[in-house]
Formats: sequence, C-alpha cells, structure tokens
Amino acid sequence: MSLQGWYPLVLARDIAPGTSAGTRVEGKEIVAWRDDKGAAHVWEDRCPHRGMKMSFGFVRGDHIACLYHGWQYDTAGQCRYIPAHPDLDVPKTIKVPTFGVAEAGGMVWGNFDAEGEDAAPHPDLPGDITPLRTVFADCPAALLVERVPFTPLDGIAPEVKATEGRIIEIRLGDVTLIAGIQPVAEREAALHIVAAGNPSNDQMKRLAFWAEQLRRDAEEAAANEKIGEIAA
Amino acid sequence: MSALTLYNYDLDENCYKVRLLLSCLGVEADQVAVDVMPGKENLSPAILAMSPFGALPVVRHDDLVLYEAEAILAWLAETRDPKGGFLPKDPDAFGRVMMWLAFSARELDAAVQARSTAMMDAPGDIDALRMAAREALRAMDDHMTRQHFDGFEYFAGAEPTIADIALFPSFALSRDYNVDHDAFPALRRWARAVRKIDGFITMPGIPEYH
Amino acid sequence: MKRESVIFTFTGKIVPDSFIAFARHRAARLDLPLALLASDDNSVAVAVDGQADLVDAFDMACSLGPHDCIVLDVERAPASPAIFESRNERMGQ
Repeated sequence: MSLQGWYPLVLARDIAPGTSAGTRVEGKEIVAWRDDKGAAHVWEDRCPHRGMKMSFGFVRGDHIACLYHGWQYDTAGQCRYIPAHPDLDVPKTIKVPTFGVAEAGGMVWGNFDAEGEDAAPHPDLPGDITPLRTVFADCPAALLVERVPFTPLDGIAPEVKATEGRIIEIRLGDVTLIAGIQPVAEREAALHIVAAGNPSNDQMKRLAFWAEQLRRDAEEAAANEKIGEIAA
Repeated sequence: MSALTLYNYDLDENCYKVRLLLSCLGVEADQVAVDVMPGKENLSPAILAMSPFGALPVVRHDDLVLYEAEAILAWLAETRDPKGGFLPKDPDAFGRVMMWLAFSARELDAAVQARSTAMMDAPGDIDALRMAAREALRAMDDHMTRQHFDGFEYFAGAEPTIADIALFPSFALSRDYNVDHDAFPALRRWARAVRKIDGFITMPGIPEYH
Repeated sequence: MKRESVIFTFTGKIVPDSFIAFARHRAARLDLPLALLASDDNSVAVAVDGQADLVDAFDMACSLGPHDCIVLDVERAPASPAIFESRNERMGQ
C-alpha cells in the first residue's frame, strides 16, 4: 500500500531530545527520534547491518546508534562509525532510508512518498496547544474516530469536526481538542491528542481519563464487530 | 550488623528487583547463585525449606527468612533506608506504594509468566499471557500519563519508591515477551527517571543505555 | 585505514552466474570496485580494491556464498590496482 501525504506519528512531547520511539504506518516500521539539538527525524526502523530496530538503540548527541553492534548514524541516515572497525571510513552505501519530517500542532509528522521541497506542505496547525496523550487501540483508524462522539465526558457527548485529511477537531464542553489520526496497521490505530490553549492540570487529567475510556469503547466496538462477523 | 544472604538467579526479574534495591540503598549482600536452569536447584530441599514453592528471591538475615520479592523490598526499605524515601511513612503515600506493590504481584504477574513462558519454556498460553501483560502495562502507562500532569516522575509521587523498583523490570524486559515500548510513551519517560536513581543497575536483557 | 588490492579465488561447487551476481552485490554494498577475472564450474576469480576491513568483509561474505554454491577454499593474492584501470578502459566504462 502506498503512503500518501503526511501522517502523525507521535506527540512532540513524547520524543524528548536524545530519545527515540518506534511506530508503524500501515504496517511499515518507522522510528522517530530527536537529536540533542532538538531536531526530529523520521527514518525506516531498521539498521542496514542486521535489521535490528533503530528504535531499540540510543541517541548520542546528533547521532543515533544501533543497540546491536553500536553502528552510529548521522542525521542524514549515513553510517559514520562502526565500533568494531574504528578506523574504517564507512562506505556511503551503508545508509538508513530517511523520510520527510515536520512538527505541527504538538505532533511529529512523517511523509513517506516525498522528501524536502517535493513534499506537499505539512498540516497547518496552531502552536498554542497543550499535549494530552496518544490513544493506541486495536481497531481500524476509522472505527476509533467513529467512537469519539460516543464517549461522553461528564455526561456530555463530544462533537467532532473533521478538518483536513488526518486531523479532527473535538469539542468537549469548553475544551477543544485537536487529534491526528495514524493508521498503524489494518486493525490498529493511534490518535494523537492535544488540547487547544492551556487547560489546567486537573482538566488535563480529566481529559486523560476520557481518552482511556475512548480506548476501551473503541476496542469493545471492534470486538463486537468481530463477533458479528463470525456470527454472520 | 550481620550479613544478608540473597539466594539469587541472574535472569529472574524478581531477584533483579531485590538486587536493584540493594544497589540503590548501597547495601551489601552475600549472593548465593541458585542454578534454576537447567539445574532446577530452586526445587532442592534446601531452598524449599525456605520458600515452599521454590520461588526466588529468598533473603536470610540471622533468624529471618523472607521470600516474596515485595516483602523483601518492603523489609529492606524499612530497615536499611535511613532517608526513608523508598517506603514513605505518610499514610496516603504508603497506601499508594502498597497498591502498586500489590499490582506488581497480581496484575503484572502475567508479564512475569509471559516472559518465562517465552524464554524458558515454562508451560502457559503465551498469547493470553501476553495480552494480559499488555493490559497491565497500559494501566501503568495511563497512570504515569496522569502523574506527569501533576509534575511527578514516579508512580507514588515525586520521588522513587519500592513501587517503581517492583514495576520496572516487567516493562524494561517487555521485548522478551514480544511487547514493544511503542505504545507506552509515559513509561518510556518513567524508565528514564528510574535509570537516574543513584545506584541503578541493569540485568541481562536491559541495555545499559536507552 | 590501509587500502588493499586483492585477487580472490573462490573454489568449490560453484554456479558461476549465481556466484558472480552475489559477489557483485556484496562488493556494491561495501562500495568496493570489483573486476571479474575468470570463472568456471569450480572457481571464480575476482579482484577488489578498498579499505582493508571492507576487503575482509567481502572475503567473509563471499565465503558463505549464495545458497546454490559451496565455497570450499578461498585464496588471496595481492593485485595491482592497475587491474581496475585497464579493465575499465576495455569495458568502456
């Protein structure tokens, strides 16, 4: 399946400088990592050496090292250092495929069909946000989004407005949430949620409970659909 | 003070919990290596006399014999932690620590079982155990997500307690039972905070740097 | 790091096309220029040139060979870098 356009991958908050996170987009394994200067990078999650996930590795300054044999890569995905062969000028062929990256609306976005100026502009999202959390659910992305209006907060049903492509806006009482939809795999999805503006910590905790309930509701709906399929 | 003896198996994550706390408290113990695999020495009469089902770790100090990692952690915190941070005296904080200690022994036991089934050929329904382990990790991640909004980096508050020690290995070793860290961002952040505890040590399967 | 030009002669039960394609692929991966010198059902001789560790890696990779070949012996001999220049001219590269 070809990947078109920009996909939200992780909340910006959830990759601190010097850390990495693995994820998948339509089953394709991706690593998002942040160097010590704060720049985010989105790469194929696979070391060219033995195929170990780069997301298991560790960030050292502006290089990321594979956990297995410590092969180190610079921010262009180029292998620069192989500990077992410290004097080796590493061939340019040893490179991790890299993808387009952008940060917007408190999320890190990846573009897998184009890099640099060829890529369509990334989503235009407000900067004045407070990150809430990501909901990971064992259900297709469409179902997760569908269940949002059915998970009430304090008895009030949320209102959902689809804005563009993979973004929805959710109104929950006097709070507005913005969520990026990530299709992880056929029956797995992630919803990266931020709150507009600066709600209080107590409000954020209430919203976090709401997000947990959304996960439960969506997975229950997915399980019921499956039972329905089997029964039919 | 007379010596502590720890009956230990390096690959056992419950033994690691005790080794980790001992290191964080700067307490020495005589470690007796018990040959669990392949020797099944934990089922020898000598060990069964101390721990009736052969479960490790076991700690001996003079006349006291303790098994159950949670009890050993609590006893060490009670008797060997002059600063008193690892097991708070404040009743509510104490209650929270006990809740997570119980969680580590009950809900999170699926993770311990999943790991031994996956790695050491113990009998078990690996898929069911894995799913149950994942649900326990989700509950932990949900909690730490909310703790972070309160500015707390540890399970029971701003400082590490034996709750963090008891919960850490099953998350850190989750790849052993095929559960990645991808879906637990709050636990990734918490794991970095645990690694910062003075005296932190690893065990086989937990990298020195992440 | 020291650079070397080496002639490798791989002998054993060889399927020439398969082995040559395999050797070319490994050399390309290691960014080593490769010159094919000779081949038959019992052996293939190639020359490579580059940093010593990469030449060693090439040696190791080809010793394991593709699934349809069995490499029983590997011989190394120093080569003159001129091998690559003259071959390039001849092959019009």
